[in-house]
Amino acid sequence: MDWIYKNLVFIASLLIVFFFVGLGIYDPDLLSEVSSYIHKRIIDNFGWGYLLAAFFFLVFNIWFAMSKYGDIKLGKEYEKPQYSYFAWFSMMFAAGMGIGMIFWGVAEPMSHYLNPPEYIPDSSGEAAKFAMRYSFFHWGLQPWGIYITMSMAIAYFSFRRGMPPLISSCFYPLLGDRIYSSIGYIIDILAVFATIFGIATSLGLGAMQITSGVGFVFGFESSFQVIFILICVVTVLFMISSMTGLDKGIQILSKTNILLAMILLGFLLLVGPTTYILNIFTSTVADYFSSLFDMSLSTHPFRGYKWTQSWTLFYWAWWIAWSPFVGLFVASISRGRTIREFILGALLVPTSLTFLWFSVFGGAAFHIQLNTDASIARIASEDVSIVLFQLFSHYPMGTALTIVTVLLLGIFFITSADSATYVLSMMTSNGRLSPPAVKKLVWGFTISSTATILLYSGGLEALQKMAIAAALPFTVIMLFMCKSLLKALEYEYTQELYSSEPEGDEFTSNH
Amino acid sequence: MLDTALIPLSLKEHRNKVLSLGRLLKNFGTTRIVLLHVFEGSNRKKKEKIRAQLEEIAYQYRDIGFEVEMFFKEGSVATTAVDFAKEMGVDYIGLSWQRKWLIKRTLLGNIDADIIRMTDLPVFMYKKDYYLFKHWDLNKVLYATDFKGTDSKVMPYLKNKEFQADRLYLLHVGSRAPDPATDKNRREEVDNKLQRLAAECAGAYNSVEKLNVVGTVRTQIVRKAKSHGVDLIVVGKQDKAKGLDQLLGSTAEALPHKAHCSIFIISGVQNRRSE
Repeated sequence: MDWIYKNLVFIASLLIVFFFVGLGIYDPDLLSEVSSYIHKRIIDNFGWGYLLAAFFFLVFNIWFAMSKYGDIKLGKEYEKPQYSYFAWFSMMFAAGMGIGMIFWGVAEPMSHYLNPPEYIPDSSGEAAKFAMRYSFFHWGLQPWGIYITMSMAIAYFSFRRGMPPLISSCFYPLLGDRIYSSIGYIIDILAVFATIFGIATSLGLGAMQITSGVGFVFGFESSFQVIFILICVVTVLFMISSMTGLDKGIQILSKTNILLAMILLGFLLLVGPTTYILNIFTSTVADYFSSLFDMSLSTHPFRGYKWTQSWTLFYWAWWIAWSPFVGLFVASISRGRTIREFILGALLVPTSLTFLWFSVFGGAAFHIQLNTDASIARIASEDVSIVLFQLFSHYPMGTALTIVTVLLLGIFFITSADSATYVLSMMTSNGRLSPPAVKKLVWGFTISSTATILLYSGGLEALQKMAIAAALPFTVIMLFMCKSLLKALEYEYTQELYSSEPEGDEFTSNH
Repeated sequence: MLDTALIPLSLKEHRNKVLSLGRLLKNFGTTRIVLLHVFEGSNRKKKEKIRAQLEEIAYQYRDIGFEVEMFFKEGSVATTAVDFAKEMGVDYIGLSWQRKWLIKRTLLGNIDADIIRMTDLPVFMYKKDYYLFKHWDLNKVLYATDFKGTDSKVMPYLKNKEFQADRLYLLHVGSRAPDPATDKNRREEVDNKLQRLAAECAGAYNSVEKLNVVGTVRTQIVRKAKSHGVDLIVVGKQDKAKGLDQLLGSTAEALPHKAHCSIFIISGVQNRRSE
């Protein structure tokens, strides 16, 4: 009985996963119908709320970094950061964006160029400008603002206040001991729910994209068997990485990732057309910042609402649903940094890299689209997974670039699954920073089998919509989290009267 | 200490309520009352009528046992009352709270609230409904403390033996600390501080009870006063409102609108950080 009580979040989360996977196998159409209905209702009715919330999180973070609280350390006063800047940025980037950006670096600007909202003529100069600006916007400051809000709160309450690294811990100033009751369990179970469904769909859909892209280049047909083999290989690799812990597995893989990404980025930038790409980068940065306020808060209710719903609101919901996982992971690697350093580092460095990435890949694609007969934009709108490889075919050493990209995708794939397994195990072990190996195995196996089974039965996209549906409660949870964090910091800053080091340091990492 | 009170009257107050206010002030050891009416452009005939009404009240107050003086002034009510209280050197201002609905309050303002905001003197806000008020003794008093500058100003009043009440509740409304271990320390610290205050006041009351709660200050003061059947809430007023309080008004300014019972506001208390 005591074991059940201690593992309530673990058991409840597993049961919920089994229920949805079971439904996805038994009646994928029903799962799809239900999830589509919930997803549509939420986006239709609360889309404006996502925009407001994402903008609020960004402003909240900037204010926090500039405020008197900026000097407070996410850890004890004497603690130093556990990871170097390079390792920290690499891991953060791999968990936060990773695989998606490889595919969408070319595909998103091209898709917007060909299919902009109805008030912009497609394939026009204005559409190109719009495409680059919105690609920056969807992958820029707001997603990181969302992640930072979550991870800063977790890191503060865990490493500075000595509480377990769980989302429910962040609510102690508001809820007190009630975080150890049903409301705390619900918050943590919801986080597990969003994480596992998010990572399972990401794994399944990502595997589909990789095999179809690689199959296109090397001339074989993507099939379920191929995808199944890929998932099996990835599972074995990420389980090995997961068992070796943060210090070795994820860190080494993430650093390798960033190096490979830099090689790709550098090659394309140098081969160019360099000036053209840098022109796009400079003008889009200017365009982005001058219209940031407008993009952040406009749902385009008169014209272009459908476009906003299917792109911006989808992204915002996805980043929020993804935030428990990224938030917990980024928190666990940010111990010992000050709030200011954490916010500025996590907001500016990944965003700058993202802008450069989109400028280089998007710019290269635009150059080919506008100056040759090849229609990269049409390919992007037809099949996202092959457009990057299509782009490489216009470059010298295209095959080498493809191999590096496949390697990059594979490693990103492994790091995402690895960090998700780690976070899930931590969340379901009452916040232990060294979760038991058996839980890592259980979650690793659950993620892979969920992805494979639902890919086979056809319920994977429905599961993705369920994960996104979790964004709505999480938006509310995150808003209260901001209030709770502010209350805690205000207390720490003003109440010298009760100043005392938190008791217990049982959540010190053993890595 | 609370020897002389200034009572500004608009004469729209119910006569019985004005009288019950006077009777209650006896509990504070008050012996002298200064009645003030501020004209706002009244004609001569109306002024005579007002003078007669005020004389009648003064006569009834003398009957209770007060030494009474009457004054008439012209100008803005709140400013004149505050300036005149200072000029007369009274110990505190007694007000019979005139309830106003939110819209009326927003549009027209509230003179009583303006007086609380502007004055440095203690203010007694009489809120009991006179028709329900059967006895004129203070039974239960609640002092809401933040352990800041207010205690040094308020405690002399609470310890004063002329301030007659049976039971004193010492309430602290705090913010929960960010983690359980620090919160435990905080609660212990608050309990110790309340205990010290209780020991200081012990001689003046039959019993002193400590209340240590977490939440929004104004909400918890009102809630605890109601649940313990308190007759009088005593609070200190900080001179400088900070943050949102500048827009919403301080706790002391907000309490009269929300509390079910009378309130004694000890003002002129410096904010600790501005000291």
